[in-house]
Amino acid sequence: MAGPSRAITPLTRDAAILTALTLLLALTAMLCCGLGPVSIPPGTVLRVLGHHLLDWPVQGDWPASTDAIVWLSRLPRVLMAIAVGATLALAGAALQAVVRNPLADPYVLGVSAGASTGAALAILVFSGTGILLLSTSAFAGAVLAMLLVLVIGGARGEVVPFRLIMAGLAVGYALTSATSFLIFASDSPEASRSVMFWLLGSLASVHWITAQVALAVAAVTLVFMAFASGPLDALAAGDETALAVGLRPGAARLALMVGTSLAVGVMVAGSGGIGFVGLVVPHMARALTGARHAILLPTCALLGAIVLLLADLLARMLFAPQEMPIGVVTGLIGAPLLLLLLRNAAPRP
Amino acid sequence: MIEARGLGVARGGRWLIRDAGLRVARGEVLGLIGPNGSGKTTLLRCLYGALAPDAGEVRLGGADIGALPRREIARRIAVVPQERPDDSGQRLREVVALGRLPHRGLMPGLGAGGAAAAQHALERVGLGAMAERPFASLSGGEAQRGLIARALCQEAPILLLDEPTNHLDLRYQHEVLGLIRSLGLTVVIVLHDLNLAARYCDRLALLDGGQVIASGPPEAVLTPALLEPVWQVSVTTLPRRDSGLHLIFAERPLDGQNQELFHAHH
Repeated sequence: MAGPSRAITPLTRDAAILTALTLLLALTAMLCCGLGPVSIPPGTVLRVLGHHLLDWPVQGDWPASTDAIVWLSRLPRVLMAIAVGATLALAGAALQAVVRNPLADPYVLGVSAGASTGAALAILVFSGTGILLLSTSAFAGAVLAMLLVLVIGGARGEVVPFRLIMAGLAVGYALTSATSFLIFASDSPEASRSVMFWLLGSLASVHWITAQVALAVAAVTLVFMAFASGPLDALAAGDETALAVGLRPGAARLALMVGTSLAVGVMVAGSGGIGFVGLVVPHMARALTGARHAILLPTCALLGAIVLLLADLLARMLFAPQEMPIGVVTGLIGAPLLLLLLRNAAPRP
Repeated sequence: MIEARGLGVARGGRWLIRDAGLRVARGEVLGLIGPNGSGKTTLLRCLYGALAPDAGEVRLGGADIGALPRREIARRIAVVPQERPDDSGQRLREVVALGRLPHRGLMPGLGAGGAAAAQHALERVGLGAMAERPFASLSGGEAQRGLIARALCQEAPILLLDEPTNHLDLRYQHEVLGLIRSLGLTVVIVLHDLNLAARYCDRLALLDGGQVIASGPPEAVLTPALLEPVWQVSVTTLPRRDSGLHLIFAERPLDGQNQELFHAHH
């Protein structure tokens, strides 16, 4: 059997996919900056961005309100969606390879549950409403949960995927219970509602500083992942294979899990536990590019960013002016997508 | 070139191998033979540092293998383990290209990732036309040859194989072992089939109960006196036309009646 169409080499195919996705991402981002309660034409969006970034055009001929909507309200949110979507998809792809389970998502180490408990504590117990207290508390919760899972799952000195998944489930359930208890015990319906909203994820309260931190972390994650693409290929094939080609599977797994979980912790702290993106996008990307991580990972990052941008657009447009939690949208889009991928998946021999 | 001295591996209060020693010279094909549970795979796993022995040491080119970085070991020793890789959706070409990993810097490449080396290795095992096939779709024999291609792609001077002829039909058993012999590498190979061991190995090490109880050229190890107590079956050796020898087994331990039967045959 000959390879699929000899004329197109894998390299040019990969380059074409990445170029197309990059253009699509730019287009989607532009669209999301323009659409909303006040619709702004793409030309004006471009000129506002050009004015702020490149000082060109020097003088704006648009109203100050337009400037504020694009630059202060929508752009941070768009950048945050890009950072969170890309990181969740990257982490999902990496963790699926690391624990060798296609059902793994970025939260296998209990990061999301830990962040939720942290956020609930901040809102309900310390009645914190400031973004700084909330994010710090959520990130601390995420890190603590991850450490707990690693201690329990790696108790015998070896980092075995199955033990980690089980430990992650156990810690996740326990922390979810704790969060529910906090909500149940709270006497402020207002605060409970804001915890619920946070649990489902939202980009509504994003500020420039949050978006900048998230973007920086996403960029670092992308670079880290690019270096890890070879080891990820080997780990996906199995520990025996990894050993044979010169990798200590335990150490490599630990480094990858801790690295990705920290990045995911930052995202969860900024936007809540957005589900489905990190699970579904890697499968979409695999269907597009195949299993090699050197191409799979950048594809995941671009696709994840696009998917989350669109989900956020729907979240704020569908019932405008009321905002929907973005987790509701990603779930609604993600579930049918997962079923579609299942239908198209080649039956395993 | 690679040498094990006084190796012992204990699990759950029992020695899997004990005081096992062997030495492989450059360019030699050494066969590890022995019944199930005799410690062949355990010994092999110690040889590439996948298992740290509880006693003794493995020396690779004069250095203790336990002190070498994993990447350095992988540059010198390629392994074809018994385990099949998990189905991660990789194509044959991608599985074979994993052999380049110990040679690559960490620099990621969007390029074909050692495509030329992988293709060359695939052609050597006769799978040149199957590079784009999903690894999971290959037959047992094709997958086995694919893993040997990955080991070749690693370009290491030492090659370790754990029962590479499992799942292979007669023709491919001989093709694969003939290929391994023709590579001119230093080879340690675990084999179940004593006749294949007799035909393709320069030297054999016979394991029983975790110890190397005999080693030497096939004619010296494959004798009824050594084999019969180990496998509890009767063994008759016949000389082959092309020098070397061939073994015939009977299902029951050798007793007086069988002996008579065999003598009548000759």
